[in-house]
Amino acid sequence: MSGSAVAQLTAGNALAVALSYESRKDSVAKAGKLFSQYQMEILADVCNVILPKTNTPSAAELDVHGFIDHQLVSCYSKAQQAQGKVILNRIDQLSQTHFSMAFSQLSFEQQTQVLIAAEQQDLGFTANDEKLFKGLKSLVVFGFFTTEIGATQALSYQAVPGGFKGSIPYDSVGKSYGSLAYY
Amino acid sequence: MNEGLYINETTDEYDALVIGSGISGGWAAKEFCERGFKTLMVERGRVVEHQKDYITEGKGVWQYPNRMKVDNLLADEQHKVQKLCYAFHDGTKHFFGNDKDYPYSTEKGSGFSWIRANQLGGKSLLWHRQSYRFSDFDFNANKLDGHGNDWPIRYKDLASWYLHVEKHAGISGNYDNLAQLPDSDFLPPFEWTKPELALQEKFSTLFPERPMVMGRTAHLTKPSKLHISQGRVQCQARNECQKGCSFGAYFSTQSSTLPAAAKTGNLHIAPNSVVHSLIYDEHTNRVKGVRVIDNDNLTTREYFAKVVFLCASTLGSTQIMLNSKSKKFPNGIANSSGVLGHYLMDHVYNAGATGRIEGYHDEFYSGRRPTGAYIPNFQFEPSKYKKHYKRGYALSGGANRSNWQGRGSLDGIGANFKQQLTQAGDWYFGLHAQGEMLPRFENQVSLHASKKDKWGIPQLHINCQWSNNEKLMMEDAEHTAKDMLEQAGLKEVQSYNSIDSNSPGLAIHEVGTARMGKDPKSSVLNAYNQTHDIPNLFITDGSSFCSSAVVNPSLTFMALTVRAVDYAVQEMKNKRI
Repeated sequence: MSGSAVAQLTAGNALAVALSYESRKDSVAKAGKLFSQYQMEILADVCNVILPKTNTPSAAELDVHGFIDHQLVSCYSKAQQAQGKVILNRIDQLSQTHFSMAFSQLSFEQQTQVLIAAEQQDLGFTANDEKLFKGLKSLVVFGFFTTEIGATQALSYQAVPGGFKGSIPYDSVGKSYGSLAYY
Repeated sequence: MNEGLYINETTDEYDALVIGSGISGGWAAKEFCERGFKTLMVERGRVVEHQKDYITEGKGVWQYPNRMKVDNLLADEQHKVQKLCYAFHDGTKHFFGNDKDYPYSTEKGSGFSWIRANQLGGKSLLWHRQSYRFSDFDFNANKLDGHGNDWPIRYKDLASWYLHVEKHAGISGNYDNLAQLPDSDFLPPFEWTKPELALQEKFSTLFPERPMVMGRTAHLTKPSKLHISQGRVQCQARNECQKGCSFGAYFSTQSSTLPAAAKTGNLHIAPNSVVHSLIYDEHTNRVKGVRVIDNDNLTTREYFAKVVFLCASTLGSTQIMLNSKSKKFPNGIANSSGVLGHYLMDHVYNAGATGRIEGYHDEFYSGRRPTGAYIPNFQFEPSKYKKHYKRGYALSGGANRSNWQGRGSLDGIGANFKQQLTQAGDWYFGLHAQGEMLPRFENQVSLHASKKDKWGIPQLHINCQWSNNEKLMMEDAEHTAKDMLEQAGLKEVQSYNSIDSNSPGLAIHEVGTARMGKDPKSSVLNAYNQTHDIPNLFITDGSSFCSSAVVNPSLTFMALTVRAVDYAVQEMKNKRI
């Protein structure tokens, strides 16, 4: 009896692993589960501008855009999924208005200018746009720091801390922890 | 583990049947087995083997399908209630029930969030591990203010049994010497952070009657020889306990009581055995055994024993009793008093405050402490009550540095923003109320008149509401927590009171529906958790409580259970059972 229960559980687990989001290099090359191919390109650039390459890869290099497309479908409401599309379209639309070019054709500096405007309600972005953009940005941040590189390299990761110490010098770690009990 | 441990069909008569394998059931089985009694533990759910079946333990967040978030559709379809629990996520969901299998109804205008853990080990795998002894202030509360019936026991009756379970389970904590929170037999306490120590000192000046102590928790901060002999090692401070812990560093049935029981050779376990009802013999006035429906294939079988311990959780045990009807007990077995199912309580965890601590940017901690700060109930006797409501609450919390979580919605784009997110932010400290809920006759569980579950067992119908007392308490707790933080110098203090949006149940401290008492006319159990009506039937889980008290109940489940076993064994030896 216990054997069958365990087998059932393991099978369920294997299924879950098969469905887990694995990052890929070509998420921008085709439509996602939610976003069109065109929107995937915008989203990849948004990821790249919000969290660019530093001493760790950019959010786009870690396929956070592909993850967001997956995550919105898996764990968010239809309304939130629609909001994701709305804000990407707004970013592109206002890029056209101000630079007469699609967002993805802008320089990194221009793209930065547009996204700063989105959260400052500048260049025609409204209060609602800002709200939607901040929601998307939260997903970019979540998507980045929950990748293996984000959690273990950008942050300090303690899989098995070995006990709790209440007071250590911050400089001895120098980073926030990427290993959290709750996400 | 030993494959011969598990049984399915048997005609043997056991010495003891223990229904349930959670905190209470594990202890009952261990104590009977160690006294040489052939014991059958009956568990409705599947087997969960220590270590082997902790399938999500140690996985990185990136290894989960949705980075530890639970799929929308799955959560909505299968975990509508369970997902309300703070500990429910993709790494723990397999230890919670599938709500589709466990339907229950609530009375219009009331609500109850019933958190389930129907597997070997039960909620001992999922519990929050906070461990406190009751004090005599708790045992006296009902008598002194007239709410609920008087507990038939006092602290002296339980003290040695607390000690007995603490030595085996392992409770970390500091010897605080507080009348309202008796000390346990402690392993070393977890460490404080620097800002917490500073706050502790400030509070001791500002509010000397509200001492802040380290939360006492069933973790091996320094395992004893006994713990090491159980195969357990020191807590590694992962604070991912609800995924299961292969270090056995926190107390669970699997880590602690089950191996001890199995070692005796006297234990058998019948998993996947959903108890339908108890088999009652009217001529001898004894329970003979249980009727069981197979969890998987719905076939029926029976198990027999000389004595039966119900440890199936407060609502689980109550459901079984209500469904055990006979000519003598038409309203549920051992229910001559008529109080079975009444006086349902939980704790009220719905108010608190959080604020920012200035400074300490060169201070950090290492590891994830599985406990926190605890300010025990400071309204622990009638003279200390507030004028407009009865009883009191504890405040729990702790200090942490903020991190990237929640900062994604702040302003910032680009490399600097990314760099800031990698750094620990300011320190924050919170205090969150854990209040007592009064016992009220109206808060009742009963069997639904027509609805049944897939095993053909009548569903529970729950009518439970917060009373005005709990509402007034949470209002006060919100203001008190905010005031304490502000007086201690915290900045941007924000408070909350969520009692109107949360039904009872989410503290997962449901108790009271088969209460103890001196008077058989107004209680189900005597001072030894033995039913007044039937000598060989005991209930030792939370249903036996006369009041919820303020502290977390699990340590008291343990102590009541071992005391009841000791008594039952004496009674059996003396041929009274």
